[in-house]
Amino acid sequence: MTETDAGRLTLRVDVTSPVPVYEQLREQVTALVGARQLVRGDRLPAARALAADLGLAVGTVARAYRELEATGVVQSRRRTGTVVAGPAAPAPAAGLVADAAADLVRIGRAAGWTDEQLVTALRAALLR
Amino acid sequence: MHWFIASEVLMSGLFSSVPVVLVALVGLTVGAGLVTTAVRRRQLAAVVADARRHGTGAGGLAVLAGVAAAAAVGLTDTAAGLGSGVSAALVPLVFAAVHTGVLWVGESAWPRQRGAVRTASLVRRRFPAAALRVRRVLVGAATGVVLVAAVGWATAAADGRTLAGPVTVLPDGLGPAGPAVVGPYPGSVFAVPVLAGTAVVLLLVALALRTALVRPAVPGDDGAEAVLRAASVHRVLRGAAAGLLVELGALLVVVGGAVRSVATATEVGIGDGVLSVGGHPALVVLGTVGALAGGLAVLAGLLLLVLPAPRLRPAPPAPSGPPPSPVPAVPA
Repeated sequence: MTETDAGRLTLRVDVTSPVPVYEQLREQVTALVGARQLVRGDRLPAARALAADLGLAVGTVARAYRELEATGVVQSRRRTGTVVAGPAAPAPAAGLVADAAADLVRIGRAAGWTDEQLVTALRAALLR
Repeated sequence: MHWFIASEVLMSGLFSSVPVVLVALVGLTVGAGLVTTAVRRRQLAAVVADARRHGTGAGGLAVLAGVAAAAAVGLTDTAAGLGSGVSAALVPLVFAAVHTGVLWVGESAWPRQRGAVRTASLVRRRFPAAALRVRRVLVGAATGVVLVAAVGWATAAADGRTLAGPVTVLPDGLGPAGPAVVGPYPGSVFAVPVLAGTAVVLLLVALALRTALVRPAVPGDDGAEAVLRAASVHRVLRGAAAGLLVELGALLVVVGGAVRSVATATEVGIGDGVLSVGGHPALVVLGTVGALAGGLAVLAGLLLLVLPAPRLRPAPPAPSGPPPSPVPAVPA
C-alpha cells in the first residue's frame, strides 16, 4: 500500500461561495485522487480534525466524506478512518477531457496565469 | 523544653520543605533560561506567535490554578468529612485534576479560522513522538498509585487507616503481645478517595489529549504547528504525571514507614530482663527501600513540572531574489 505525503496537500474552501462547502471539499479530494496526488491507501484526516482546521461544523466534513464514499473515492474503516480507495469510475471520453484540461493549465501557466484566473476562464467557457 | 520542641518542629519543617525549595530553585533557573533563550515574537509569523502565546498562557494559568486549588484543599481540609488526613492525601491529585481541566478548556478555546477563504493541510494527526516519554511516566505513575492503594486497602486494619502487626505469643506462659498498630496507612479511608481522584485525573487527561490532538491547526507553517501541538500534549501529560508521581511517592513513604515500624522488633521488659518481640528484618529493609523510593518519586514528580515543553525555532528568512512578475489581466 503506497502512501503519499498527504501533509503537503492542502484543501481550500470559500464559505461565501455559492457552491456548498461540502461540495468544494468533495471536488478537491476527487481532483487530488484523479491527479494521483492521493493514491489508494492514503488516509485522510479525521472529520473532526479537518472541521476544526477549517472552522467548519463536523457534519459538513462528514457529509463530504459520505459523498466521496458514495462515489467510491474513499472508504470508511472502523480502525483506520477514511482511506482513499482509488479514482472514481471514469466518465465517457474522460481521457480526452483530462488532456484538454491539462492543455488549458499548461498554456495558462506558460502565460503566467494564476490558478484562480484559469478557473475563471474555465467557468466563462462553461457559460457559453 | 518548649524551645526544644519548637526547634524540633522548625527543623522538621525545614527538612520537609527542602524538596520544594530545591524544585523552586531549579524551576526559577530553568524558567530564566527558557525566557532568555526563547525565540522572540518578531522572529515568528504573527499567527504562530499568537498561537504560542495562547498555549503558554494556558499552561501558566493551569499551574497557578492547580497550585491554588491544591493549597486551598490542603489548608482548609476540604475533605475532612472523609476522614482525618484525607485532604492532605488528595493534594497532588487536586493539583493534577485542576491543572488538566484548565488546559482542557484552553485547548477547547484554541483560535479557529474565521475568514471567508480557509485552508487546511491533509496531514493526519498523530500522537507527538516528543511526548511519548512523558506518557510512559504518566501510565507508570497511575499504575503505581492504583497498585499501592489496592495493596494498602487489602492489608490495612479494620479501621481502614492503620496497619496492624502480628500477635506474638510470649514464652513461659506470659500470653500474647501485640499487635502493634501503626498509622496512617492507606486503607479504605485513603485508598478509595485516592483511586477515585486518580480516575478523575485520567478521565480529564483523556479529554484534554483528545481536544489537543484535534484542535485547529496553526495555518501556514507545518513545522511550527507540529511543535505547538506537541507542546500542548506535553503540558497536559506533564502536569498529570507530576501529580500522580507525587501521589505515588507520598503513598510509598507512608506505606514504607508503616511497614518498617510494624516490622521492627519491640523490646519488652519482663522482670529484670528485656525480651525482643517480633521483628522481621526483611520487611524492615523492604519498608525502608519503599520509603526511600517514595521520596525519590516525590522529588521526580516535582522536577517533572519544570521539564520544558518542545520549543519553536525562528521562522526561516524570506527567500531573496527578484520580485515575482506581474500577473497578466484575465482576457474577456
